[in-house]
Amino acid sequence: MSASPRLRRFFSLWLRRPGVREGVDLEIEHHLRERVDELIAGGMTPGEAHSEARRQFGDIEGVRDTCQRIDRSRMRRDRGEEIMSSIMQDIRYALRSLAKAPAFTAVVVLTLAVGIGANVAMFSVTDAAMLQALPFPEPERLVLGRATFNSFPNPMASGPDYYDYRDQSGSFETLSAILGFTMDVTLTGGDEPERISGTFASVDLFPALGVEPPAGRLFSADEAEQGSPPAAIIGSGFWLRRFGGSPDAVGQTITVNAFPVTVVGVLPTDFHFLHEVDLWLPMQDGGSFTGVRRFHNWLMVGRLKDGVTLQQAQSEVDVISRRLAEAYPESNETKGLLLTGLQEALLESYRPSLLMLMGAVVLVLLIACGNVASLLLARASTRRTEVAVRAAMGASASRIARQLFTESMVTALGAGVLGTVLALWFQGMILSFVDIGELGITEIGMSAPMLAFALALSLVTALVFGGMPALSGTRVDLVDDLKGAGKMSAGRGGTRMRSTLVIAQVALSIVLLIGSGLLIRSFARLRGVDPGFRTENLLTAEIGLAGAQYAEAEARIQFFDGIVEEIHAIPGVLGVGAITHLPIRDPGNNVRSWDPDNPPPNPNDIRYAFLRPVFPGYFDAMGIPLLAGRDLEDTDTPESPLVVAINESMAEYLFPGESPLGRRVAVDHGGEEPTLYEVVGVVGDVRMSSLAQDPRYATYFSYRQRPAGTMQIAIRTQGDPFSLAAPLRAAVWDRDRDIPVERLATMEEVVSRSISGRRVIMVTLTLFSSVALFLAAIGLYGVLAYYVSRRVREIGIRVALGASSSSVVHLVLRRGLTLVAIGIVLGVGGAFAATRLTQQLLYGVEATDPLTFITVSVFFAGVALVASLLPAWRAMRVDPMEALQAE
Amino acid sequence: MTAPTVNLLQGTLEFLILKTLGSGESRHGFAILRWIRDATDGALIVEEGALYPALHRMERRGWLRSDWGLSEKNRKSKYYELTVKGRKQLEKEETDWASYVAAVEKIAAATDGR
Repeated sequence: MSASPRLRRFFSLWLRRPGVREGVDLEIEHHLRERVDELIAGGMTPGEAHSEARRQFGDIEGVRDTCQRIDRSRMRRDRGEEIMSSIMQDIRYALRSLAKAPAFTAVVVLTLAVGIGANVAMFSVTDAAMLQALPFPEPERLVLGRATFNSFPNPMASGPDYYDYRDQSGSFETLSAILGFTMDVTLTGGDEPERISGTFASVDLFPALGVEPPAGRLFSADEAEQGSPPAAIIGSGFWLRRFGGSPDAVGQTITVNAFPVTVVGVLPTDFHFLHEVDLWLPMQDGGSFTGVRRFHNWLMVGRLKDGVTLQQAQSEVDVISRRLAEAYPESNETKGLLLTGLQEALLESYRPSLLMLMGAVVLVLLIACGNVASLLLARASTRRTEVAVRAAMGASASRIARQLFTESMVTALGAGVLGTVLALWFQGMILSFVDIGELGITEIGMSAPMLAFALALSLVTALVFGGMPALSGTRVDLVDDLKGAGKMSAGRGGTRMRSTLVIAQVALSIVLLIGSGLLIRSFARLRGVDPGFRTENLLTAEIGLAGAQYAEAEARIQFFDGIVEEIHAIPGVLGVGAITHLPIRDPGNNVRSWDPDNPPPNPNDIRYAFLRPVFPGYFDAMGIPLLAGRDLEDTDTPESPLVVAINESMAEYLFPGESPLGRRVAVDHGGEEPTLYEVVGVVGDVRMSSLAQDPRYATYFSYRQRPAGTMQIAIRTQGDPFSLAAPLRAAVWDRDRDIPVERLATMEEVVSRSISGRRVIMVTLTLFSSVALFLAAIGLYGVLAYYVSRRVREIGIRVALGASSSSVVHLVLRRGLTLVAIGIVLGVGGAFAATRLTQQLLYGVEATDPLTFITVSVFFAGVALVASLLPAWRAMRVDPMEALQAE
Repeated sequence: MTAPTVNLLQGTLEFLILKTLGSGESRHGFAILRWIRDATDGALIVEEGALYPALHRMERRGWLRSDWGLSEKNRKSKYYELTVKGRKQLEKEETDWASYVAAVEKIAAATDGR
């Protein structure tokens, strides 16, 4: 009597399936009805049956809830499995699809991988430099203190000022000092004398930075006093080199500049702070560099007390600065101390370059995405048939879009993986010119944030380049597309999108090209700067005297006298010069100098001049013109009157309109009274600190009157400068085996090295913009080729109706150049907007330099013309007969 | 006279349901209940409150498949039938049950013969 299962199922097809809640209710209701029927059949009244049925069932609500819960969880799980399986299906399909066109896929993946890789590398460097904290405990409490003069950071402060700030301020847990530069000292006692680097730091610096020495100890408080046994802490590199990393190094005595010091501790391998040196010596009150309030050699590093803000500390420090200005008007009147967060301060110098490069790589990636999107759009039109078939078989538009998008995702993720591998390689490149070694970062490698960024970037990239084709791909016109007529009469959407893409690519490329154009001009300007001397065929070397035998000035004079004479005798030597600091490479060591007969009313207005003892013949050897008077000579001895030669700018400043010869210059050597010198010569200006810095004031002293222990030798050679290296070494060692000849380099190398940072940035940006240009040109070509291929019929008709081939070419070129023109205008606008950022990196060139803008635009237009030629030529070759017959 | 109703462990209930549907026919919940009652001559009366949760759990486990249909009285109701997985489970449980019964019988027999 019950309907057969088959029949039941047949009926069930017609029933709407209830949802979870409704279904459970129905099921229970049905059960109760059956039960009621049974009970009525057994003799109960309907009313009794109803309540009895309910009673017998038990907890209806509970059962209902339980069954609903179970059903809901089942549906969730089933849906999840369904989604997973359709995603897996999409992925499999995507992989098959990509494999069917290996060349295309390879090009796309490579293009994206380079773009993503460059971005991931830049991100990891920026992350390490800017976002990661310094590797010290509680780095946010560390501040850098820089002395300011009339609010301009010097940045170095003087020893006595430092002691006063330290003793008078209450904002700091510790206020330490570190020498603002490093020195080269000679280490003797081994097989060969070795030049090592060293610097001073106050004894509380390392504890403030939380340094834990792997051997020995840090400086003790009494090592800050003069007279305590000389102690030194050595760097880990030096420890490994000299002592093989053995703990026996602690307690050993080494001889530095003929002075014995005991090694008391070693710094850990991963410790990097401001200077990479072999030797750290404790700052001692009354010791080196600490005596004179007017001599500024120290940077301050402070750790703020808990709860004290930078602003509070700054206010307190300002009060102290005012106090010092009142107490010591001659030296402190315009001085202040600027406190900056340590990390921020260290970033200041390379933030502009980092930001610029970040911007550049993002642009390159966008352009690459544009190209990939364009390629995909082109390919989408050839896949119309395939998509139409799928649509006819029941795939919804969203399913198709999802599948196309999965292809983009798989491609992007593949590119992301490859790009991350490439990024490791790019990192090295970036680190080579953005020197963030100061922050303790020498290499970066893989990191979790970097991987997360790579993943996110790949996904975004997929969205950017995949979104458009996926959208346009779903606009299927079934009938047309199945017939294959899509190629001929495809909708205008594809072309418009691609045209917009090309315009965007052109604009971005223009921005990059202008940027690199400006950098190129700037670098050329810098390279072309006249340093004030002749740089060719000049060998330079450093000779540092050490040893008790050179303690007397006479001994030093004798040594260098002899050496210079010997070098002169070497064949191939045209001239020999000796100076304490090599121009371009060795800035610093400037002291207050003024006209004692006409001193500025306010001592704080006294300017600083470079203090440079030289040997006679220096100017001649270097090719520095002697403008008036004479060179310093052998007759300028300690017994004869003290003399100087000054540079042109200083003569103009101190003695405007007059001849400085015979006038006097007062130089503050740190004593109570300045020393007076007579001006005997005026020489041409030389760039002392760098090519980019204007020449300032320089005073040249007779070596005999100020004999230093370390001299830079400059040898003008006839032929290859390096051919003189061996004879030079021989000559020096002949006289004294313990004197090393260091820093051998040609002057040209020295100059080149000094601008290498800028060069690398310029080269990198030019590389980026070339890639961008290339990609944009390809994009343009692609769009125009597509344009022509779609208009074959139209062109055929035109030609058949008598259009000349030149008018057909015009048609194509006009389209191409219109796109390019719009792009150029947008790009130029963008470059203008970015002026403020780029100006910081330029030398001698305005960020809005019209010559660059125009040259770049014209150049790009030329490239665009070439890119348009091939499609235009193709258009010209269209055979009207073929075109009209093709369908 | 009604036989004492026995409280069934959940596992046994599921076995009974599997067995009920073992013939291949699809049944709704009430029919399953009735079949068990009839087949045991009233000895086993399944608590109704336990039946439906069990049926839903077994469906989630993949042993049963459900669908909506019209009963003989033209009422909409949910019909259950065994899946392939469910059939395998039934075979397994039959084997287990047989082993269990045999083991218990052995002990029962052993006690008697002491």
